[in-house]
Amino acid sequence: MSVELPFPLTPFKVILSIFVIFTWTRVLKRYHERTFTIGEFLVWTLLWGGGVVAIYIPGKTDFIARLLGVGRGADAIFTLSILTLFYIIYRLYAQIYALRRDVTKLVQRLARERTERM
Amino acid sequence: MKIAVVIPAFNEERVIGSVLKQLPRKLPGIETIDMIVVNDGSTDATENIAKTFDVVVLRHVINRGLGATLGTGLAYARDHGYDLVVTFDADGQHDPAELKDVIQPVLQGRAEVVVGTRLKKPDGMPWHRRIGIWAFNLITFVLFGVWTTDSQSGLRVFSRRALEQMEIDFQGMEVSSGLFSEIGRLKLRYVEVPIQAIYTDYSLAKGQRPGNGFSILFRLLWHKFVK
Ligand SMILES: Nc1nc2c(ncn2[C@@H]2O[C@H](COP(=O)(O)OP(=O)(O)OP(=O)(O)O)[C@@H](O)[C@H]2O)c(=O)[nH]1
Ligand SMILES: [Mg+2]
Repeated sequence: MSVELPFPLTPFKVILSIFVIFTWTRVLKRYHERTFTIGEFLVWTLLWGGGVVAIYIPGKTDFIARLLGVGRGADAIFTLSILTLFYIIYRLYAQIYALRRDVTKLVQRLARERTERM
Repeated sequence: MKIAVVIPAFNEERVIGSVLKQLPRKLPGIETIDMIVVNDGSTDATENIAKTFDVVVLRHVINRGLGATLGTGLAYARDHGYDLVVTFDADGQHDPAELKDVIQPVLQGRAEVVVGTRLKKPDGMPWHRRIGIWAFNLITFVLFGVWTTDSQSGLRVFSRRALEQMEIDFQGMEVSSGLFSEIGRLKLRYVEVPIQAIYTDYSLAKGQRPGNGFSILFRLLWHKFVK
């Protein structure tokens, strides 16, 4: 049995879609818990929703590639992925740095408050 | 004239006793010399040994690294009104008799900051340590604009004025080069005094691992450009 889809469906696209939908349920949960405002909820929904739609638009990577001027579509995806990863790592390091400093401040305060003099 | 000697110590049970015993308690013209041992979360008998001496013991409940340890000790000295502060490693690599020499430039008003440099008579210092230190001397100069012949020395002296102005915000071994960023930023008068480098089997076995250098460099860059 073979069903003709209006767009090619690869396992990769299915996995990506499931991932996006799962992430969106997190956004929904946050909105319900009221840690997200309605504005934040809409922004994220638009972002992820746009992502899902984009997965199924044929030739979109080539369009992005032309936009960025990097040749093939695959190259554009790689470039963007690497840049995103760099940014994520940078954010992670910044958070770890801040955390490390906070722990040190705590430890230093404890040291100050419990000074012993022989 | 009140002097504080800040002694950062992390698992130094085998040597800290002899360091504390040898450090001078009296020097001509100086009323008080207090020893401030900062135990950086040692898991051995370092603190118990330190407490058998007439010293102040500050304790980090967990290990935070050399920068944090010096930060604790220098803040204590600043808050308790010392006129001059010395940092002195607990691992036996400095000669306690040289304390009186390194404080001279500050006592005479010739300097705000003194570093005891081991590279003027580096006998006994392994060649790979020497290369590492020179590399960091260059890095320190490029990043912070202060030329030093021993950017990694643990024997340092700060005047009261330097102590009050410096912002000490470091965690680990990057503190040694990092302090030069403060010297440069505040334009503190900086003088070097040659000291002995004591490298025993103990300190060689324990000392810096290669590769640490990259983490130090990364943290210095972060401190300079991102923080
Ligand atoms: N290694 C290490 N030393 C610490 C720490 N906290 C405080 N210290 C103290 O910092 C001083 C210098 O540490 P060392 O590991 O000897 O570093 P170094 O003298 O620059 O390196 P070497 O030339 O290889 O000995 C010693 O008195 C340590 O006890 C820490 O978390 N790690
Ligand atoms: Mg050492």
